[in-house]
Amino acid sequence: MTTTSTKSSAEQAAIAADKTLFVTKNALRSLAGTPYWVAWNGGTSANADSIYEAVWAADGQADEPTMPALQSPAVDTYDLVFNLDTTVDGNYNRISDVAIFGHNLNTLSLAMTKTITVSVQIADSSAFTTGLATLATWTLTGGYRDLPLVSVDLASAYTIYEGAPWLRVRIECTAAFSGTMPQIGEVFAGRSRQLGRRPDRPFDPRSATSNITRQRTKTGSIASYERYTYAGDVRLTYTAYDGTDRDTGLDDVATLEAWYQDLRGGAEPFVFIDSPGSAPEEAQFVALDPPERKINFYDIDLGEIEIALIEYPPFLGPELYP
Amino acid sequence: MRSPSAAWSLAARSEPRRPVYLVTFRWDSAAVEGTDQLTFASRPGTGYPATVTDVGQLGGQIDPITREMTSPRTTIKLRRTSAAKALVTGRRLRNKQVVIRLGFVGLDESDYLTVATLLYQNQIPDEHEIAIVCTRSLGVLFETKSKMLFTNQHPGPAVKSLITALGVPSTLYASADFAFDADPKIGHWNLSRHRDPRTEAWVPLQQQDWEEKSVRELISGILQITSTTLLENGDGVARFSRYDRDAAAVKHLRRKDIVELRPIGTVEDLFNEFTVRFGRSKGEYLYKVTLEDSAAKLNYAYPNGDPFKMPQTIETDWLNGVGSLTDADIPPGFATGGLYDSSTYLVVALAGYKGFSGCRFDPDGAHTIPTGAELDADHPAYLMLTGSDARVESGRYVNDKPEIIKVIAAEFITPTAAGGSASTPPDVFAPDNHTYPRLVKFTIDTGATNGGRSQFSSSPDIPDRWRLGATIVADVTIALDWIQNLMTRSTEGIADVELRANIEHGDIETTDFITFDDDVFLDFEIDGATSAITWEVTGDEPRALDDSPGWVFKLRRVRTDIATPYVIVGQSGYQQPTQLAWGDPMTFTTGDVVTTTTGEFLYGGF
Repeated sequence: MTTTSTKSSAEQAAIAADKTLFVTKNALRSLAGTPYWVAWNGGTSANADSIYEAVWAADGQADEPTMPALQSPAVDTYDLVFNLDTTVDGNYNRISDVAIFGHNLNTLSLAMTKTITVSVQIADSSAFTTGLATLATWTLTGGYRDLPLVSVDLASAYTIYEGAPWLRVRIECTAAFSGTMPQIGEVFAGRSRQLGRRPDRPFDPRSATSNITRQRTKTGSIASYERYTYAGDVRLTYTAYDGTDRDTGLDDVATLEAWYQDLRGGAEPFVFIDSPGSAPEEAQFVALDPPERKINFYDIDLGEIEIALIEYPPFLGPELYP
Repeated sequence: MRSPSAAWSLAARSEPRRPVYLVTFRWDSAAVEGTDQLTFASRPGTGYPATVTDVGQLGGQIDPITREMTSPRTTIKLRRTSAAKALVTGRRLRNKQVVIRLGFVGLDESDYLTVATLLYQNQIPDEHEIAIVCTRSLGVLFETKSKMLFTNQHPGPAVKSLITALGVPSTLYASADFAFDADPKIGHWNLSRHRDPRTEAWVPLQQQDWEEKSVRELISGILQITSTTLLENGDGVARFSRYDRDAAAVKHLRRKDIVELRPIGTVEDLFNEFTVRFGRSKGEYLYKVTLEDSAAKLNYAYPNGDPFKMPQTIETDWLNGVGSLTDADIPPGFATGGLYDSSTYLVVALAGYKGFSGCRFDPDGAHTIPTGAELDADHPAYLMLTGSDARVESGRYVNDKPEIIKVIAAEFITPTAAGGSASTPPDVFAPDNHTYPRLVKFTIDTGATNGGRSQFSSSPDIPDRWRLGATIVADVTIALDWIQNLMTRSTEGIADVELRANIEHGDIETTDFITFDDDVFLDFEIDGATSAITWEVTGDEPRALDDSPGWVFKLRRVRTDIATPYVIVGQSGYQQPTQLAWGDPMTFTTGDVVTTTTGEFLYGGF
């Protein structure tokens, strides 16, 4: 049975004020069964073959997308279904934010000149009838960018869900999919680790590096070979308050402690959102590198921590600046 | 040359170049993604898992002397992700196809260039990666043993027969490439490697039989003597490519196209004397033809003036065109037969089935020669005459002095009473019981230099007569072509360079001829490479993911100018080892033997 609660008012205020947000512990990494695609033909559903396995949407890699196989007759609705383990490490799985990386849905909508609606839903059973709740919905009308689909405000009420046994990503189009199929790289449904402040200045949330080799030919002509661009490598220097901060209402040191535990000491990837209120779609799928958490306390209740992040592909930069 | 699409070429030269490898593992020819194959990419955004981290060496390399192509094992590395693990754990992949395509970000997949089609051999996992080891498709098959025999066969169909006998699907070789008329310049060539148990005294090659060999050895033997390479193109289809020193360059690289030039050496593989040993009889190679470049030997003489002799010798099972001179033109006034200095033709017994060029007569019927397989002025054959006490000059026998004659027509003739022999039906060739012409009449190219006689000699010398019954006639057409190819190329050494160009030059492929401009290259009388110097691409390799990207070409210099006439060297034919004669014991005038004080005989000088 799924239980619900809501993010605290302090968390909600922090989101609205674009304070740094980490989303950790993807519930989809603890599964009670093998994920699968479902195709809907009118009111009838059937399991659909996938060109690439559905579990690739929950494997910690966003650049290996899963996609369903083309159905005959072609259909306009696919579900990517996950059976979640409801007792992860003795705790219920906890979902307060969702993000979808490595998809092609907006550009696909443009190519098809059709509207694609994406929903994340949970339910008590694979039938998705009882206990059905829609966590987030995005309506895509086409564009040249496939930014991550992110919601930090589930059900538009900052709802937190615990113990959800089934989750699906529903992809509905106003026409049948044929030719290019919808793809999803990674679905991240995790818990919020909200900090009360923004990183110390100077801070560049779009810090990135590219791997380009340039060489000159004998006449001086330049030939450049690009392997990747805009690989995020953000470095945050953060002043954390130990204890409940009177101004923010949040205990950042405790948050960082819990965040590091969620990452299993820095081993697990997570989601970094610099501006959760104004631009949640600019989320990045990252890892902590070096994988360390060291708070240098310089006052009785103030400490400084350096957090260095490396971004998993597909990178945010090329989507922000196509 | 490869033929990339215009879109590929444009993407390959547009700044910045963003190369992408697509590696497809295919286990069923239906090739439906996900069902029959899985494709992985070297970067995201292609719709395929971005799991490829490295594509190892793809290109092989041709040895310019042996024409043998050595192909490496290629290792493809995949990140150890769910996708890569699913590939390996889900099916048995050994001997399945691996297709490697190269394209660029934004390029339509249909425009990707297929650079290699390999066979999956093995996987080596570690904690971070899975290394997939692959080989060239045909190489795996060639270790099978075979004792296939060939009578009067052109090298192209012979190689094809060997390939098809292995069960290689027709989709893996370009059948038209192997037709005898695919290369019009050599349609008249002929080989033989057949069992011939004859033991008659007049038959030059006796008890010919052949041991079992691997198909690789058999094919290598044909490729070497015919200056041909068996190559696989990007689709894994084998083609038959002959080295033609007169072929035109397909591309010229300018300085702005070249990222790096690395000369390996300019006087590499220097040889100035070439010998082909052929004609197996009772297990021995009885005959040989040798040409030398004596001027080159002096050019590279040692400090004391001794000529620098650097020989190269091959033995081949495939040249068995050895017959005997018979029933030749009898000029008026001469009572005995033979090939005279004024003769315009010669007749050779056994030429009808021993693999003489221009003599690929259809057996068992009208004995016609296929169109394109005949001799003519542009497609001559070269016959070498030799034999003990066979050459007559000024009334005496001259041994150790073979003669090469240029002939431009061949026709089978029915034996007549000329020379005293009775009419004889065509020979029956055992064990197949096919009939081939017994006698072939070769017309001498009297319009050629020296009237077609005494070819390849710096001082042409036509004998008075070659005797019937003693003169051996060997077809050295293919052997001389091999020698000439290598002689023109290697008497000054075959310069060796490695050139890295930008990736848009991937239309150049192995066996192409190219030219390039560069200031670094130096050679005798050459300061800088220009379009006047031609190079053979002996290996090519895309380097799309390297720290030093581009397309790397291994180049060996091509030469076409024949600087000096080549001289046929020494004798051909089997020679008994020189026997040292012991002197007789010394004797007194009385006849008694002279002995030492210990009673041992004393012998005279040797």
